Amino acid sequence: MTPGVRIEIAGLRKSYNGVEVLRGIDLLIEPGESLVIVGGSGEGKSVLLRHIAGLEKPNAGRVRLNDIDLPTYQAMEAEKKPFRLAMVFQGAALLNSLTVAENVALRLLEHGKSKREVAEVVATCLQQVGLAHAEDKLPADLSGGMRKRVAIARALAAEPQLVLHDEPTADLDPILTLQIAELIANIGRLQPTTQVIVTHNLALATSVGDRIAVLRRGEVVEVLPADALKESRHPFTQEFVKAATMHI
Amino acid sequence: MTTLIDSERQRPPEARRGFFGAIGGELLDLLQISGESTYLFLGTLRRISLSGRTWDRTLDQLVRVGTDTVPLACLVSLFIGMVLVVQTADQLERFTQEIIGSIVGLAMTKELGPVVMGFLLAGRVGSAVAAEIGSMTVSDEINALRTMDIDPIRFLSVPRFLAMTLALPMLILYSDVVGVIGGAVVVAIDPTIKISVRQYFDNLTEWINATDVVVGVVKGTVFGMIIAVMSCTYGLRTSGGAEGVARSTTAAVVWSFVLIIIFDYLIVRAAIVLT
Repeated sequence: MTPGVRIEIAGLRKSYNGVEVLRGIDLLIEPGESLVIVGGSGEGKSVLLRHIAGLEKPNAGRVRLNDIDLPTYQAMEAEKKPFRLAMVFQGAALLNSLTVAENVALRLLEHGKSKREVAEVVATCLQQVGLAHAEDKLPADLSGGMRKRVAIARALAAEPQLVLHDEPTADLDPILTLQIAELIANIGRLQPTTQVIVTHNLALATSVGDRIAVLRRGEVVEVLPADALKESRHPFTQEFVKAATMHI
Repeated sequence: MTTLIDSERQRPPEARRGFFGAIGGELLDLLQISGESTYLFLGTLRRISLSGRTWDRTLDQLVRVGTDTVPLACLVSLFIGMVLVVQTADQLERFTQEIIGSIVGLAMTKELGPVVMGFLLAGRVGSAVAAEIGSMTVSDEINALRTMDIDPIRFLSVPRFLAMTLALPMLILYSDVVGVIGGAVVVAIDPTIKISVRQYFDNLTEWINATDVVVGVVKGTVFGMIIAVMSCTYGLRTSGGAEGVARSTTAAVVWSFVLIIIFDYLIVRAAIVLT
C-alpha cells in the first residue's frame, strides 16, 4: 500500500471576479503527514483545499500528488489510480436521498465491488465512527456531529491514502469536536494516510497536526511544527493564536 | 466547460453596465448555456450504458417520470379532449359537426398531446430535477461525487435522460387515447352535439393515420431529451444557495418550454417535407 501521498504545491494562484484569493502558494506535504492549514475566515483555506482535491482550476501554478500532475491524476480511470483521495466537506455533503449505509457504500458499489464485500466494509467503517446503529437512517434525521462522522466513515470506506478535511469541527460543540479530533487522529493510525485539515480551531489544529501552515490573505506566512505554534514570532500567527485562545 | 468542472461558477465581471453591456452580458450567458447544454447532451449520449446500477437508477426515474405522472396526464388530456369537442362543436354548428372526430383526433395526436405532455413533464418533473440537482450542487454533493471518482453525468444525468426520453412518448400515447375518449364522452352526453359517438369515431379513424401518431411519438422523444438536458444543465450550474436553486428551477422550465415550441415547429416542418 502507498504510504500516504506526497503533495507538492507550487506557485498556486486563483482569482474570482478579479479578486485574488490565492497569491502564489508553495507547500510541500510529506507522505503520511498531517498538515493543518489555519487562518481567519476568507483567507483562502478552503479554496486551497479544493485545489488539492481538484475541484477548482488554478489561474497559475500546479498541484502534484506523488509526482503526478493533478489533471493527469484526475483523468485516470478510478481503478487505475495509484492511490485514492477522499474529502470530508464542511457540510458533510451526504447524498440526502440515500441512507447512511448507502452513502458509505456508494463509492465502492459504483466501482464494481460486490454487495457482500461492501456490506462488511460499511459495517466496519460505521463501527469505527460509532454509528453502527444508524445505518438505515437518512442524513436528514442526523445531527450535525453524526453527519460529520458519516462523512468520515464514507471517506474511510475507500481506504484512501490522502484525506482532505474542510472545517471538520465547524458548528460543533466541544465534546463533538473532541470526538472528531480523535477520529481524524485515528485515521493516520489505521492506515498510512496523508491528511490535510483546514480549520480555525486552534485546539484541533495542535492535537491532530504534525505541522501547521498559517494562511493570510492567500499567502502562506509560515509553516511550523504543531507544538511550536504558540511560540511563533510572526506577528499574524501571534495575533491569531491570541485571538483563538481568548474563547470569546 | 467551466461550470461542469469547477465547483464555483466563474461569473463574468460586474462591468456589464449600460445598455450594450447588459445586452452583451445576456448574449454571453445564452452562449454559455448553449455550450453547456450541448456538452451535457453529448456527454450523456456518450455515457449511456445499461449496466446494472445505471439500469436500476433509470427504472427508479421511470417510475418518477412516467408512472407517477400518468394520473395527472390522464386528467389533463381528458379535459383537453372535452374542451376541444365543445369548442369545435360550437364553431361548426352552422356547417357540419360530422368532422369533430377528425379535428379532435388530429389535434390530439399531432399537436396538443405532445406539446401539453411536454409542458406537463417540464413543469412537474423538469423543475423537480433542476431543484434536486441544484440543491446537490450548492451543498457540495456533486463535488463529493467527483472526489469519489463518480462521474456526475453518468450518475445523475444518464438515468434521468433515459427515463424522460422513454417515458414522454408513452405519456403522449396515453394522452392521445384519453383525449379522444374525453371528446367521445362529451359527444355522448352533450345535447347540443348532433352526431353520435359512432360517427365521431368513424370520422376520427378515417382521417388519422399511423404517420400522425409516429410524428407525435418522435416529438415526445425529442421533447423528453430537451427537458432532461435543460433541467440537468441548470441543476449542475446552480450557484448561490436557495435563491440560486429557485433561479435554476425557473430557468430550466422556461427554457424547456421555449425549446419545446421551437423544436415542435422544426419537427412539423421536417415531417411535412418527408411525407
